[in-house]
Amino acid sequence: MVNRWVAPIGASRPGAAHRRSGRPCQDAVLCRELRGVDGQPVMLMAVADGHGGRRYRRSEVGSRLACEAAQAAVEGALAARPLAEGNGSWSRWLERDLPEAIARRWLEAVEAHWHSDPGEGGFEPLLYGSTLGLVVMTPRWWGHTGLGDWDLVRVEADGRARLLQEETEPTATGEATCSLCQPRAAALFAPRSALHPITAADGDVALVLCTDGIRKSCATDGDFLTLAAWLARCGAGSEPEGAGTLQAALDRISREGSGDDVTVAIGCIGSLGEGSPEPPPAALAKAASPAAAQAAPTQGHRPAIGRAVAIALTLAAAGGAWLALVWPRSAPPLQATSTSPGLRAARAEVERLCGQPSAIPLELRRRRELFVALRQGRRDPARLKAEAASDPLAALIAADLPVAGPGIPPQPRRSLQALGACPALLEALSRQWAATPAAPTP
Amino acid sequence: MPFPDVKLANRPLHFLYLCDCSGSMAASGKMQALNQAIRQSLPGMAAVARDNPEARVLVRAVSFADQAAWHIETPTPVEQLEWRDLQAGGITAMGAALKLVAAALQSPPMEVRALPPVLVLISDGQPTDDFAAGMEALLRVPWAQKAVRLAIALGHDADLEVLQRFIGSEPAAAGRSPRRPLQASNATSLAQYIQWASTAVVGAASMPASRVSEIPLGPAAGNIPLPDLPPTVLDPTDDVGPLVW
Repeated sequence: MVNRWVAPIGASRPGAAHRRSGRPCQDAVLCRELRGVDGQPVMLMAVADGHGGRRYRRSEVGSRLACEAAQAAVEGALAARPLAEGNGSWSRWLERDLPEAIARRWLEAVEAHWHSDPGEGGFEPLLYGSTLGLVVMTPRWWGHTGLGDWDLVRVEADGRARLLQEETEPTATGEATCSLCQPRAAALFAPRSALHPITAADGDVALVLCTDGIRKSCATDGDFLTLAAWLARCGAGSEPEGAGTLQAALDRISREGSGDDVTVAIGCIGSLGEGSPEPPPAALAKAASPAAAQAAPTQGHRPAIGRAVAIALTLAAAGGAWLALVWPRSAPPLQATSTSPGLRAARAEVERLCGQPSAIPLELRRRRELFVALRQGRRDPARLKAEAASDPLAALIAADLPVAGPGIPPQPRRSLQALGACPALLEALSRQWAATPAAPTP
Repeated sequence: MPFPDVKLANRPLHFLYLCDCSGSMAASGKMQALNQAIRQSLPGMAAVARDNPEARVLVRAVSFADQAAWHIETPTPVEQLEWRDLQAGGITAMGAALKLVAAALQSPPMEVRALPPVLVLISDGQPTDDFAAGMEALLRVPWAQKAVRLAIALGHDADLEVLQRFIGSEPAAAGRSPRRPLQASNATSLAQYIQWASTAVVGAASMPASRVSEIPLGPAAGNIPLPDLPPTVLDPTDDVGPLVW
């Protein structure tokens, strides 16, 4: 079976706060269909987020040039080496060679821009600061790299959505993020780089790459994943109004959410025979010249994932618990004797979490500080449980605090089981506890 | 294709006053001036909040004298806030106030999606308890590390060194002075600083603008400990009006 990526689509919209203050959109998006030296189609999608502060006053240029630098660097590699080269070689390219090429090209581009339009003071890359996230999709593998606070979500044909990539750099907290303008920026790409081989067993998949404005607009990570699955449908769908729908959705996300610029790029893979067209002969004819093979997104059919996600989301829109249908729950919760607001809140939280199991690890990871504080005795589990009505997830975590000590066997987790905790929740909690040291960190 | 059933939400912006209520604040009308300055600043802060609907501005206040205590414990939307007067009397338990704020900035109850909080410390004297322990407790909390921390010194008896430790150090950079505590020498300048903190700073903190992270890979070029702030109309060391305090 030959896997075929559909040309990605993307959209970038100025944030509500930017519109109000008359500032430009400092995000950028780029979606291209390229060709390898051996003629095979290669898709590229990239998003970039200019920092936007007063010190980064040319960041809308920096983000655009970041996407263009990514395209030029990818094209350069595709012209020089066959895709048939081993995955290990391409993996190293994603992690090391490509970042170095991008960082170098970006620095050259922003400096050239400065000299073509000099402003007050001297040139410094900081003026153009931007993040960059990109996904390269080939028939044999797909991979991602970049730096900064972009997110990448994988959506399966049945609608399940999973966060594959987020910024975890320890110094990138709050509104801080890694940037192309930093010294030795290329070294910051490695933790965000990975190559995923495509096998015959893989089903249809959509990849949703977005700047941080989208996730920060969602009340919870569960909402973000549901939204990403819907955006995947926008990207995968064949409706002619798809692009308009996407832009209108982005405007709404920013208006009702973070107010930040919002940008998304969506790539989908289907298999031959499921609706994806053969590449047009004209495109194949350009195969020997990757740089010339840049093309607009294809107009053909989208793969089966669009239909599958559409069905799942239609169920959700119709009031059905879409996610609950996708992930069967465990046995129904036991009836508890108490009906206190705290217990009701805890039970509702279990139901919410187990209704979206793929979001559980994310939600728990967000509470890392609490796991550590409980383990180290800096937070009182009894108090957290007593305050379940105001923070039910903290109460659940406190209720699951393992009793540790030499010779003490693992305890049954009756509290959570009585609340109907699903295996995914119990397993995710266990993973967090296993990764949490008991002794205070220095 | 209908929009999915997801909850979109603006981001909370927590604004915390830490107010010195020691006995010396009763002298020369300082406490009265502080109460008046905060009360008068609220309409402006509410207007900024209205202009930035993507941020939900929530105000709290801690008072410290013999002990530290919440003056406004519940994060209160600024448009609903009614300022109750603080009363002066006692010594200066500033370290305890920092610990109280440190506990409030734990996550939870702090929301993961919150904007960096704004902490404004106002004092006319020197801490009488263990300030260093309080500062250490505060800076252990990630949200406090990310916070915009401002300090206003009332009069010339204020301990500028501890206030500088509270706000942290930022060396001079192109076009910017090194960050220092704001020094208010009378009711007029205090009112202007409070107004600035509750409007310009809140406005800046409300805007979704990212910044470059600190990295251990090279020189700290471009690191900005605080979000960019609009230029203040006042120089921090300027006297505005007659010297009173």
